[in-house]
Amino acid sequence: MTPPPMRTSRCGLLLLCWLLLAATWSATALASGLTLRFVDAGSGEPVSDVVVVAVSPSEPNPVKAEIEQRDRQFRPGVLTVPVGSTVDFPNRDDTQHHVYSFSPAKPFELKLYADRPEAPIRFDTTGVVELGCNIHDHMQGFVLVTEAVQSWRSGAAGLVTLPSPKAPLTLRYWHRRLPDNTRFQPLTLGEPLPAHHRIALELQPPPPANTALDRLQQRFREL
Amino acid sequence: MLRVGEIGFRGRLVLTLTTLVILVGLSIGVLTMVQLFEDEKQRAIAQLTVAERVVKAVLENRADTLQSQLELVSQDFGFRTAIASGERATLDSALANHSQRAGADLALVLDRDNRLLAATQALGPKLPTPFLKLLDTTVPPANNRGFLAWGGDGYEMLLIPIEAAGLRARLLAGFKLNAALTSNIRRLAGTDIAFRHHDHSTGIDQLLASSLANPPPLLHSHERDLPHNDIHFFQRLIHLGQTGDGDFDAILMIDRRDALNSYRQQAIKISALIGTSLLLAIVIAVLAARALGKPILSLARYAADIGDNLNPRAPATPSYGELAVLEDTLEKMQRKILQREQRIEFAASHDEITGLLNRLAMVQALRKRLERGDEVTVVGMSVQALSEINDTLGLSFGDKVLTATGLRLQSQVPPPAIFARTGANEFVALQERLDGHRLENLIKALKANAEQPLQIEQTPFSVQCRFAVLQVPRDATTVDEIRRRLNLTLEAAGHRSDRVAFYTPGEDEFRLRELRLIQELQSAIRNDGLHMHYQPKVAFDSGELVQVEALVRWVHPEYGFISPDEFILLAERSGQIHELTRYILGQIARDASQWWYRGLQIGPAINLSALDLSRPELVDDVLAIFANYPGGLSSVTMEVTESAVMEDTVTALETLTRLRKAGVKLSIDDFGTGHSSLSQLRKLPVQELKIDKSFVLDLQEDDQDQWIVRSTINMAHGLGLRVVAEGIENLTSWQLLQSWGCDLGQGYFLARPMPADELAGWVRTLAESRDALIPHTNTEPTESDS
Repeated sequence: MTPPPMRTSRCGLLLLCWLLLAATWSATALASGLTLRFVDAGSGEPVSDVVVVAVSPSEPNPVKAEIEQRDRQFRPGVLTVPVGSTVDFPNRDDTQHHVYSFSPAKPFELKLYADRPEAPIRFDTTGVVELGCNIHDHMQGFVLVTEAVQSWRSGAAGLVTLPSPKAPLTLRYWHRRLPDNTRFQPLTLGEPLPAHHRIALELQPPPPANTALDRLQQRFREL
Repeated sequence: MLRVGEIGFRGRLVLTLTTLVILVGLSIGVLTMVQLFEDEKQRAIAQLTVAERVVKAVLENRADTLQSQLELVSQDFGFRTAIASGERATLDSALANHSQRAGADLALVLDRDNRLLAATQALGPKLPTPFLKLLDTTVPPANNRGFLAWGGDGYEMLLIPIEAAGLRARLLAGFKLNAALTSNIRRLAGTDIAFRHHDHSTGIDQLLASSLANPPPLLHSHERDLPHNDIHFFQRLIHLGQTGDGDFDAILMIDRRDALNSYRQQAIKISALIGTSLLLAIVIAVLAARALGKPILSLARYAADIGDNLNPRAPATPSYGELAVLEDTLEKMQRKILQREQRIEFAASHDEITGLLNRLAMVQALRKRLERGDEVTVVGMSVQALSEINDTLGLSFGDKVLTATGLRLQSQVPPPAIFARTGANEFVALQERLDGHRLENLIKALKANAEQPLQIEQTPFSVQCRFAVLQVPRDATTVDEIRRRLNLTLEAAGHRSDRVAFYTPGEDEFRLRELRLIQELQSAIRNDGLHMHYQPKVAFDSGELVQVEALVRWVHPEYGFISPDEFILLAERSGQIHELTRYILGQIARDASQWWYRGLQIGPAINLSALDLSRPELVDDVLAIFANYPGGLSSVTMEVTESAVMEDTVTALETLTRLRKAGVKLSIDDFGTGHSSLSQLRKLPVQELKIDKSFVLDLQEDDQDQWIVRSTINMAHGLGLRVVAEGIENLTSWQLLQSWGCDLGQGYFLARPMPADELAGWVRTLAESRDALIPHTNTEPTESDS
């Protein structure tokens, strides 16, 4: 855990981060919560957008949510909903979309449409439902269907803070760049609960940032 | 076995040329073949290298194409939907449909945990091991290709991920390494190809596909591209990849059989070329050898003919270059040989001083005439006193005299007569038979010509010549006879005033007798063939035997009695005189000793010749031989003639003086004949004088003789010499001599010469007739006083 004293500039930067963390730490420590810190196992950088859900015995409360397609992207890219929730997929682009999923939790298909599909899709099985568009291969989205009511998302610092955890604590976490992003990864923490828990993630490299055309289109163009 | 040394020029040329052609031909052939092989190999290697690239590219492209097609399939929404549906039947049919679309021969869909979702072939519930091993080594996207041996076939395998929203599966598709592929490669690369799987665990090579219906034994995995056990193919091994327990290889093959066939034909062509060249070379060699050898052989024959003295003509065959030089040289040699032969012949048949023909030529000419039986006249000529001319005026002068005389003589016997110099000073002319006055005229002409004064070196000079004439074959029938009789006749001519002699038959026989006597005298001396006779000398006053003159006798078995004068002369001429003298002295000493032992005290008188006197050793001989003679040397008398003393006066006197000193009495024999000189007589140490019998024989009838003898006796007595008269044949002569005071007498009146053993008997007879011999008292003393 001790950073190797390699270069003074780097040490200085680390020291600064440490001081900043220490300041936040003292605030949460006062609230007696649990802070999870996600880092990239390869680079050690904080990992954002890690979704953490806490499984609770309480009945989930289904919601109506919406994932719109804008600029050939699913927005939001990751949607966490309780099981039984319905999600509408309004098309805000000037092109049609063919939204589908082969995920076992909810295989569905919204054949080419514009504007708003006839009906929203109801997700009544927990699991990770991956979304795709059959005519825009680069479009990717996820609907995380959970039975839990509470969910968190790590910020830029890769931190998720649970305000009042009770031991034993059973958590699940998910990130789109996990090697297997078709399911949640379980995380169980026994007594005594630590105030801080660091989780290193093996992540796939991020997909190419701007892929207006998919590889198929590229190949056609080359022909 | 024919050795190289025995092969002729032609053979060598043929051998050389054929060897050359064979060597060159074989070299070219072998080099060509090696070059062809090497070229072919290089071409094959180049082709194999290209083919290898082609194979790799073909496989790569095929895989790329297949991959593209499989990727298209994998992205087919319907296919994905079918996979996502989880319905096996749907999925199997979709897989079959879509894999067929890509042309795959084998396809299966696996989930992310390698569970089999669908397959085009029945693989059972669990994935077979080869597939699992293949999946172990195949990790897309970096390495999504591999090879698989399954069910007797080889496959190139591609692993394609099928990923869609919520779908994670893999498509494993295989494409057979089949005949279509190999024929395609064959078409592109131009080489045959075979695919092979080698199973490590079983060690079995499995041929998967081949463009050849009957591929040859293939290279092993560790070999590269050399023909290994089949020269009919070049091969190259390309290692395609490994499966868990085996190797996939592609083997390229180039069929060499056509090339080998063409090599064979090439070799046959080259062999035919060599054979043709060989034949051509032999023909050329034979022709060249003939062209070269013919003039050489004819020149060799030419040289052989020159050697055999056949006087050949130069060969007609035209020669060039060195042969022409050789021919020219041979011709020159022939000319020089001819010239030399002529010179030698000339030298052999000619005299070098006069340039006339020599004896050899004359002998040949004579022989020829004799053989033909020609009647010829042979004239021998001899220049007199040539040796004196040589001695006094020099040899070159003598030669000039000889030459001049010879030429003059020759001028008188022109050809066809033959004229030659046959000896130092002798010439012989051979000519047609001449007789009578014609022959005499010729001799006269010859003589006149030869004896005319010569002018030699400004010196007038004249010579005398002898001539001898022989009529052949009347006078002689062989060359030897001619020569001998010519010499004889020349000698005879010397005794004649005109110096010309004709051969008299029989002359030669006399000479032959002499020769024989000379030859046989030797053996007569050795074998006691000579006998001594003794003629008594009786004292006039006492009538007693005082002395005997020793006379040698030779009775030849054929010729009978030989006169001592004759054989002593012959002994002198043949150099046997000293031996003869010793022999006679020995005989006399022996006989005289005998007499003394028998009481006959008589001394011998011995005749000495001029040659005896010229030999100082004579005295030693006498001393040695008479050493044991009982009478002593004082009883021995030696008789010498005046002319003998005259020949070498100094030595003779010396010898006589020594004899005298030894006690020997000396007597002058034959006094009154020859070169008698009273002054000489005075000088000689003699004690006796013997009047020659020619004055005594007719003494009683010849008054002159009586005066001479009487005066001689008186003169000798006046000089204090004893006088002996020989040749007394009658009592009258005896008494005359007795009355004149002669001391000793000798002659047939007293006794003939007799053998030694008869002497004693004779002495007794003498005693009986002694009265008649001794002087009577009534003889006229006045006469003896006068």
